Amino acid sequence: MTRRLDVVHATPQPRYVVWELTLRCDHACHHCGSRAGKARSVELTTTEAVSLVRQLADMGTNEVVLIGGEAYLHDGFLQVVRALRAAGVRVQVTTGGRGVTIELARAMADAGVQGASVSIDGLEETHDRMRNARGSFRAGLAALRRLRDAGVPISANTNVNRLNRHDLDALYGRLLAVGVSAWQIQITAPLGRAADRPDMLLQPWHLLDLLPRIAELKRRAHTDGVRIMAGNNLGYFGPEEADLRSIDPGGSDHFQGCQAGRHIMGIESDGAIKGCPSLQSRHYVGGNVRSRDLQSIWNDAPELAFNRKPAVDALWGFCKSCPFAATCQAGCTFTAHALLGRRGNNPYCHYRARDFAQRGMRERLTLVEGAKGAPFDNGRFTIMIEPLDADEPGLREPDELVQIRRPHGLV
Amino acid sequence: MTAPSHDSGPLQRCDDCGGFLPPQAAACPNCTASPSRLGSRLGKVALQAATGSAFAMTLMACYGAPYREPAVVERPPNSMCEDGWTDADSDGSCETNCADYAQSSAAPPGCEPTLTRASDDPVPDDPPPDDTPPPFPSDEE
Ligand code: SF4
Ligand code: SF4
Repeated sequence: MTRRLDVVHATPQPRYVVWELTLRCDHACHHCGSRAGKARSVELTTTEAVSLVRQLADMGTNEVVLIGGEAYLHDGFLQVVRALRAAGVRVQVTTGGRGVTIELARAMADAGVQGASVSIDGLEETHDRMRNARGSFRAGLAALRRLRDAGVPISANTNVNRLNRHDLDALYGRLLAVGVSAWQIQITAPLGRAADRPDMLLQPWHLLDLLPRIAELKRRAHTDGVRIMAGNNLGYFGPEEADLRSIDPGGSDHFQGCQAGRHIMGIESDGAIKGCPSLQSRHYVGGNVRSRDLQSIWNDAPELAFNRKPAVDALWGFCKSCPFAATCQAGCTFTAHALLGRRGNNPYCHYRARDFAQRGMRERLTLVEGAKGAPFDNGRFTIMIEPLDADEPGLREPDELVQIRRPHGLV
Repeated sequence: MTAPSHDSGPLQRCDDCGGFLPPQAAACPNCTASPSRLGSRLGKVALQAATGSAFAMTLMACYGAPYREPAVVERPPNSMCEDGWTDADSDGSCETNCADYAQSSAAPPGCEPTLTRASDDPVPDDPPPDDTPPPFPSDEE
């Protein structure tokens, strides 16, 4: 099993790498963290990318997930896949699937892609609204079928937010029917374009209902042979933690802290290196493989090292006094940073929402500082504490939830 | 490079609610069950610690792909069409979807391959889709 690891005792090594091959994309999704669309101006060439493969293999990388934008829009996509396989690295692709023709699906299988995860972000109406393209849902399902028929193992991934949180049960039926073997669910964090659309986001108290429902769905899916996995920003430490985090029923896995820079690494398409692909580029890029070898960036860049020593001292707010702090360390770093402007305190937490609820309260996130408009950027929210049964103002029509809003209102 | 020390010890489980218990917990933080109810889980935790599994995690990242065993699930192709979709020509692909009709004058209502963008989407560096996006797949399934 290439992905299960004793993350507490193992030496930091980029075992699991997510590589943005190009920022070019055939979607312009409202929730896209990287604001994908056009390629970055100086993306790695195919030759440079293939030479990076050797460095990854030498550093012990087990698995690479190719993303974008759309990875298949990079000229060297299939060459990079082949190079990774030749170097003994497992290759997965995460895609919106819009451009996956039968020919491309077959070419991906021939090149050695060992799994493809298609982003399906709700039922048809919701998905097309979020992904800003009519027909996108059907194209995504068609991509799953084409990849499946080409022999590529298929799975799905979903960003859950206020638009689609009630779609999950019905969506599971669609994914089961198309034959996925796994489904990853993560929270839409206010990163990139999602940071411009605060009404789309979950409020922390939504986790009170959402996490038990996903855990129940996971139990049901297991009997169908489908593995639902909670993304790293879906948690933490509520009664369903083991069910959500374990691979199989009865397991006792739990979140073990963010693995960015410990066992996970992200590569941006221009060669910038981060501890995780979703981390805010401005704060967490540790160097560029065009000017420095990968090993020295990994070993020496402080931007990648923040998880390599106990981070309890860096916690603040509720997380600082949380009984799970030593293990959890405020959950997902990029999500905490995207919400509050720095890591170490994370209101997207099930235990925390339950703790407030037991005291008749809840936390509300309010945008106070907008994002600037760059890939993987963030704004800043404040937390207001209010009664658990407070009115929920601003319940709007679905189309309104994806409109851009600045701290002082609709743009 | 040495291994970091994030070892806060294996976490016990609460018999009442199934949640985890932090080290030295006086009661379950989730359901407030007292420690006297926690004993039956200790043996399991000790065993996990011995095998290392109490510290294991499945590596994921939010832009990654879900964990799955590296094996192909074999299922007969015709069994996998969703409700309302059919594999009429038995080629293993479910048909009758908008993608099949993209760029075609025969596209049924609702299947027009129009890319829409919110008119009030003025973020300056928020680029439109690339100027030459690939068409929707329009293969001859
Ligand atoms: S409150 Fe913070 S440290 Fe505690 S479980 Fe939640 S995210 Fe983790
Ligand atoms: S930042 Fe979040 S998604 Fe990235 S490695 Fe850390 S927990 Fe996982």
